[in-house]
Amino acid sequence: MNRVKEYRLQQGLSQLKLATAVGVARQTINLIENGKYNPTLKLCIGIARTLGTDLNTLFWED
Amino acid sequence: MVKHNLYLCLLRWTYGVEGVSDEYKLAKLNQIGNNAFLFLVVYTSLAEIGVLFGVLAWPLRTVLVSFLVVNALVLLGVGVATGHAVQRLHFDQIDIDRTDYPGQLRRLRWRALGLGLYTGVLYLVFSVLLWWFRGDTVVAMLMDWESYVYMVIVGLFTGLGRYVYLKKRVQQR
Repeated sequence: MNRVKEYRLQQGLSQLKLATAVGVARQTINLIENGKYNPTLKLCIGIARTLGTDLNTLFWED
Repeated sequence: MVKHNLYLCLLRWTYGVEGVSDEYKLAKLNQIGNNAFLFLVVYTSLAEIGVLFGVLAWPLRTVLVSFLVVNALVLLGVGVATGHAVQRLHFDQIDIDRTDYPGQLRRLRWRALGLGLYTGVLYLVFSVLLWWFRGDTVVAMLMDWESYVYMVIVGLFTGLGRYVYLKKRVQQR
């Protein structure tokens, strides 16, 4: 599972606020957080930038 | 965010999609549309075979009327199925930020009012056309105050109905 939710909460953002910042629907963020949707690279980069982190930290699983 | 164009507006209007159109929504809408398309291709092929054999056994008029009725029912069924799929995915949900609730609600009221006005005017245009087809003068119809009363009633009910529909889909976040 990715760490989008963890970083979003760290930033004090709601799903709706993150979704608005990235330009997607709230449901999409919810699906990404729950691992039910694999976003495109473009969206991943947008989320990482908004959360002030990088792709590896957010999406890479060891 | 996906750039809005006429195709996307039509897609959103057809499926009743609310909120931001993003890659996930478009992918899912494409999936729903493809399923409906495949079903309709199979149905059209079968229906054509049915009509071909039907005209051999029954009068042409009966077959044609049956064909039209079944087509309408199948289209209605496809519409209901796609609508259900959109609802299941919560694409018709309107997410509203708690802090901007009154402002967003005002926007919904304007949308409902717009549809009410549009329907009212459309009703008037159809009434004029109906009078014209019947051979009456358009001026006589335009002087008839009852048409305007009906126009207001139709517009009011449509607008109110739309507002109730939209309000039911609002989710405060």
